[in-house]
Amino acid sequence: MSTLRAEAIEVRAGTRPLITDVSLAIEPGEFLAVIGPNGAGKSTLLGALAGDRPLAKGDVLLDGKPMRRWNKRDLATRRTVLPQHSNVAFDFTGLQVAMLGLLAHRNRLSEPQMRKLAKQALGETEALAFADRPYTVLSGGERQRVQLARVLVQCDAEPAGSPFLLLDEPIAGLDLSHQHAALASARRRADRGLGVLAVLHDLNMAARYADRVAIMEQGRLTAVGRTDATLDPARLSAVFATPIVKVEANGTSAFLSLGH
Amino acid sequence: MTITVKRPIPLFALAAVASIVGSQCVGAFPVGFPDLLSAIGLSAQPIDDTTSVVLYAIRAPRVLAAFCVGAALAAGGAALQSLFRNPLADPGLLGVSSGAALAAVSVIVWGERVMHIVPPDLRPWLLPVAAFGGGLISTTVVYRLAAREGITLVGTLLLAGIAINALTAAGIGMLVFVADDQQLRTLIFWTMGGFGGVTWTAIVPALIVLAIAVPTLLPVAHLLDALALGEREAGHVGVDVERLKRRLVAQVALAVGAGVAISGTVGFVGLIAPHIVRLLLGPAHRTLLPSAALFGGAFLVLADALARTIVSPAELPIGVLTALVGGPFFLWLLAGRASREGL
Repeated sequence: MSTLRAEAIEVRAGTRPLITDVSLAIEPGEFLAVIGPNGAGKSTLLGALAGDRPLAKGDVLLDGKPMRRWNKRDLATRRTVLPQHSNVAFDFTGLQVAMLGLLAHRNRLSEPQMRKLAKQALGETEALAFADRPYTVLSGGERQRVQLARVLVQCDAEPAGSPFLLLDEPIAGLDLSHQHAALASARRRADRGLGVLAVLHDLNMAARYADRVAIMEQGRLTAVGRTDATLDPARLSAVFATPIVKVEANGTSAFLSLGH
Repeated sequence: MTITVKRPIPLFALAAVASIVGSQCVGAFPVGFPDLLSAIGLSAQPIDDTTSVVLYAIRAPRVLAAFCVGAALAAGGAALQSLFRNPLADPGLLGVSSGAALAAVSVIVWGERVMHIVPPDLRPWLLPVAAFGGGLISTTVVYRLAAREGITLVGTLLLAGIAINALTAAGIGMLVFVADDQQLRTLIFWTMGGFGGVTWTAIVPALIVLAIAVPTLLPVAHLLDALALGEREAGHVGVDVERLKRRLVAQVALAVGAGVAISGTVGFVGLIAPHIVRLLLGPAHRTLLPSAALFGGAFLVLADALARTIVSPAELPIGVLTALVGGPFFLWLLAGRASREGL
């Protein structure tokens, strides 16, 4: 069984700690949403779990081995990362960008196979229309769907499925229907046994798709647990420093924030 | 817009061969095509001694050198642009060429003092090795300054290039001051660039370096593609970015340094060739690198043929010609970016 966990990690920018004493494990088969105010350290935590950030204290262990001891290529088959807003230099097409997700699998797959897999993923994110268009001329939401396709194809290319999928604000810039489509794609992978971690700002999306929710505040993990228990209106109002109410009607519920 | 060509590389290769054959024939001493055929053994008709000397001893090394230097600058430019994720990166503008030139010129002026301790067989290598060292230092300095945490600061990049070019110009100026008359001639030739005095013995070491440094970029072509995603993202898809960057800096310095050792600084080839090929064939490095190399080679061969014919029997410095084409081209690129990105 694959494991990815942070053990009492601290990440600093210079001498200033960005996140302190965070311990968190992603379980295979679960969708874990990380929420919290701006600057709380959500992306830093995701970067640390991805192996991008040097740790001042603690360790991030993938299958029991510290991140810094993994080589990049093996890592690419074990965990997949969607960072926030990516730019692409030069006029690569949507298909070329999506195919870059298969870089670590080039020795195993033929060019037509890679093309087919990338097109499948572009189809899943409804970005097939951008396959032959330069990425640089696409809108923000369209780019995000191409990047998501790149990440999905990387994650699916591993025969057993790359065990962990880390998504940093995967639905930022997407319209409502594509927000649901993107999170449903992630959800399907969790149901197939992958461990999914997504940084989200939309509480209703977190409530709808996540099994567990982790709350980050000022660089610390202040709560983590089952979604319905963790997303408590009183706690959320305190975390986000704005009144948040939970409205229940017709057997479903929604979080509302009406401002101060 | 990218056009679809089934086999772009053979097409570029054909153009390169045509430029090489054509420029073998033109010059102060014109050689007919039938003579050329017999010179390479494809025709039984005998050729006279003068023609044979012109072709073998003068023109062949010159044309070959121009092709290899053009190819090296173009491939080096493409690699630099990928490293910096920016199409404005050029070995000349960033100071890679002038760093190499300063080192090469130092060897010319001070080389005699150390020459006696170098074994005779290794002496032709001193210049290319020094040029490589100079190129390596300037590339590393520019890279350290302009690339922070995987993001290239374009302004800093170009300013760093200006600073290095100014520094090396000062250095070369100092050397001009201490050089004797004979050295002075060589110096000026070096800073303007040219293939005038090219002989087989002088260029063989640099050609060997080029033959290693340029084709070995091809195996990392798909890694260069991934670099376009950004350094962090390239890492996520499996590229050991730090290792790739070290390799690229070294290979660019080798290619440009060896080029400078042959012909001095020749600007803008590394800017023009990759850019035009990218416009025609798209940015994928597996086609871009070889096509840009062939294009750059053919471009310099033609520029050199022009340099030695338009004011024949005198010669224009080739750097003047490439700057004449490249300067406006760079301004055009800059204007396009300025209107798009406010740079």
